[in-house]
Amino acid sequence: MKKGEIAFGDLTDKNIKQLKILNSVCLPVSYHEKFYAVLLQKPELSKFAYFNDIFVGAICSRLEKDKETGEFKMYIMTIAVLAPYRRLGIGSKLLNHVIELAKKTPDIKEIYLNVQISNNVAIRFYQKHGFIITKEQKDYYKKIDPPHAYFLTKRLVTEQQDTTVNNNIQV
Amino acid sequence: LRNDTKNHLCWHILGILYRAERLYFDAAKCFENALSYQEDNIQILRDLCMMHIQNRNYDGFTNISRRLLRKKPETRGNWSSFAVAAHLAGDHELALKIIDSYDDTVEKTDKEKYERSEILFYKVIVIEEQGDIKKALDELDKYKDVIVDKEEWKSKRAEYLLKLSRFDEAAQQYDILISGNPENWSYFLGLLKARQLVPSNLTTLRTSIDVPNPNIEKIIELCEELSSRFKTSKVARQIPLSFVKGKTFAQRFQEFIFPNLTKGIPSLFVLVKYLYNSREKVKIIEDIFLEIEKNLVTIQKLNPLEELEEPPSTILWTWHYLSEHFNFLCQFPTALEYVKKCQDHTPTVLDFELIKAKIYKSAGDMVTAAQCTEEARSLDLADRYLNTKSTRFLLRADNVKLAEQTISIFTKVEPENNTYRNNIFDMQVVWYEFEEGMSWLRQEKYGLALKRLTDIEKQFMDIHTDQLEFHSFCHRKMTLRQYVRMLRMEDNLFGHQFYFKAACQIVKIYLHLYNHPKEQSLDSMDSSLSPDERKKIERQRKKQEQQDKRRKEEQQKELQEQIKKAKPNKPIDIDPNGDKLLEADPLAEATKYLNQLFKYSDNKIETHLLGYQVSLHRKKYLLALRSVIKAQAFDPYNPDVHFAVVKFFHSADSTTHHPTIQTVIDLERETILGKNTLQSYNDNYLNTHGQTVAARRTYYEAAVLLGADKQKLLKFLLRLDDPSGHPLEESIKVHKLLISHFGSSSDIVNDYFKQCQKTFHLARYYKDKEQLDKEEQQPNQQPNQQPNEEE
Repeated sequence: MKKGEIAFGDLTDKNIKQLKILNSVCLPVSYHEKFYAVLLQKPELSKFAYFNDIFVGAICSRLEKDKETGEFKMYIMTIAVLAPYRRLGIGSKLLNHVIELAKKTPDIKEIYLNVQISNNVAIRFYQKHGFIITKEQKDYYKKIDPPHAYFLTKRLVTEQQDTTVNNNIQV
Repeated sequence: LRNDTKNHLCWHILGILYRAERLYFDAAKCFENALSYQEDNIQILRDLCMMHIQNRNYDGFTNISRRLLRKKPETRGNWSSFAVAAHLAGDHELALKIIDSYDDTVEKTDKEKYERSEILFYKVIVIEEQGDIKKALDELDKYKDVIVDKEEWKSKRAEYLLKLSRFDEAAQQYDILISGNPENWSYFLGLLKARQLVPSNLTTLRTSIDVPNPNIEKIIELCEELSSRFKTSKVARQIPLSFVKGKTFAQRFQEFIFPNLTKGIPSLFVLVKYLYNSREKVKIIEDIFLEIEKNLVTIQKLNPLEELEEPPSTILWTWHYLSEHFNFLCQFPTALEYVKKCQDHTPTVLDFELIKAKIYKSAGDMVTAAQCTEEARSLDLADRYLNTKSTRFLLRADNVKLAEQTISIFTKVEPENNTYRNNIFDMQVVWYEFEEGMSWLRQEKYGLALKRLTDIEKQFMDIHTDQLEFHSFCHRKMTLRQYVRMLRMEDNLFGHQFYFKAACQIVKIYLHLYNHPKEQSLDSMDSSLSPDERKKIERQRKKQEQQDKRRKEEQQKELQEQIKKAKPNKPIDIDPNGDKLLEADPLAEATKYLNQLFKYSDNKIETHLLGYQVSLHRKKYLLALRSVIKAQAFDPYNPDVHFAVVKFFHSADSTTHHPTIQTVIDLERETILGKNTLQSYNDNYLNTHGQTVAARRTYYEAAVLLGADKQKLLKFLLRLDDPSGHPLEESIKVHKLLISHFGSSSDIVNDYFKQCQKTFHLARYYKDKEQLDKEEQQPNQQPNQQPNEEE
């Protein structure tokens, strides 16, 4: 196939509606206005993907602090690519971007996300990038069927490399 | 001054005061007086010099500059002003002598090289205007190393060679120009003319051109050679499309289109739109695109012979082009279908909302079109182009308030300013003022409409004044070529398209106000109303009047307060709603603007179509006749021109004239109408040119004017067939005409409405009132509001 150009862009308050459209078309779950307001507070945790200058995909994440262990985790909230543009490597590029971002921040120890248990394509996709299924939660989703979800996690550091460097991360 | 009339200082200062008030003729007179009392005052000489050129008094300008130069030959500016004066007064030889003597005396240093280059280039232009192209070319070659503006030098050289028919040298020169810029259409045009492959009076390559076959082959050869030398040149690849036909066209067009579709260019249709004036090419293009669509959907390739598959975006731009294509052909449902395909495939691209807006606009539904542009704008709030486009569509949809809010996002907002809350006026945003004026006009708020349109006039006056500063500046800097061009532009300033459009609308409004003065007697109302309905309307009118009066009093109070608070250098607008403009004498105002139109836009048919009406009202029959004759000369079979002829002679026949005037009218009558009576002239028009809705409407109106029976003529008026494709606006005019002649509740009107509803089923004007009300109650389509799942 003829190669198309894949490029990245940033989320701003001026182009956020495009993200809303993308999510409403690709994802079975719909998000509140508050969700997008929170995203705009930390726009560096989201990334847009363009194929031949068309906005086709995006990933949105957030940082969380685990109450027990005190370590920071990155939680991927949404990742979506428009249907005609799948299987071109765009999803992988978006996910890799976020993984690299997490790796560069020493305080982030792991990345995790939720997937509907019936979504085998997604599960395989994440497994290819080094994620493993850590647990299952029943009735995670309220309005879709099946309502159960898997947690997929990717550890970024081994226990040996866990040196505590004080970095200013605000969650 | 009254105390001492011989005091030169007083005259000088009075002149300066007049100049500040833009009364340049009076200022010039004062300066002349001042000069007569003190002959050698440099300052007075300079000021008078400036006034003369501002007033375009070329002889005065020459005299004064000569005196200035004699007094102060060491000032550079005096030489250039004298040279320009001689040039503009028509004495080219003198101008050349001046420049030569200046050049001999001046030091040829490096610091002065720009000034020297400019004045010598100016000399070449003067020779060109004298008419001696050969001499101009020789001078140009002589100064090759001195002239700093190399690109312009090359351009001018090529132009002169072409004019002198030295084709080989011209071709060489154009070749050099193309090497410098292989995307410049005019260089290619010059090259083709130099190779004698196209007629020498051709103005543009972006149209379908007919040349003999051997020329076509040579053109193709030339373009192929240029494409291989300049691999990135799009123009070289596109030029053959204007010339080839049939199968060759199909093949070349396909080759041109394929890479552009893969790349994904939203403006592809606009790029090739100029080819659509040839029906044959339109059909070929349509076939090619439908074929491409089929191929992409079945085998993901543009063409079975292509090696690689296309990325998913290619079908998108194919559909996008097809929707623009069908919109152009006025097949609106098909166009909308293609847009829907695009949006279902990739809903995140705002270009599709824009094309949807375009379709609704062409189909006659501005409100939906404005909704689409608003939607597009919301997807990228930082884009100024979308902002202005959305504002324009909102104004066309008559939503002035929202339009103002939208444009204010990109302008500076001043809440204390009563009329101009944003700095639209300061930025001279003429398109906005015009669209706003037109919107008020459609809403029949004539005062506000006049206000905005006269704002445009004020801005043109400002532009006219702006040139004042440049007289001394350009003389000093020696940029004389551009200076003379600017002067000529200012000479024709009021012929500019923007002013022309605004002035025409102002005249139309005043004509309307003259024909429909405020007091509407009950008789003039719809005769089909019952007495109760009439009373109700009368009551409503009285109530509206009282409300208006109260509102005006409030506004006056507000205005007084603002005037008290006003800052000293920011004038408060004392007439924010244009009421004073409404109260002016309509015919006098119309005449004022019409005279400007006659002076600067005499060669446009609109001027005369308005001119004859105003002149008839003023009972100036010869002026009206002049307008009618001119209009006829421009476009003899134009429906409005035909009506003008009938109306004029009908009015002229019903009054008695002075014998000389009568003779002139009779002479012209013979020339235009021949031996026909007005009735037979009208009937002839119907038979020969009655194919369009507009023509038939004109026939009807003219016949009614001449006293024919309306019922008998209806069958012509009601026909909707029209070879021009989409006569929506004309049908609306017919509908309004039917209402005024037969009443809004008559069967004829309702039947016509239903017929138009079927033909123009997207047009807002023909939607049923119930349907529109239902639309307003339902909120805009919201995206699928599924219940939220966010934890």
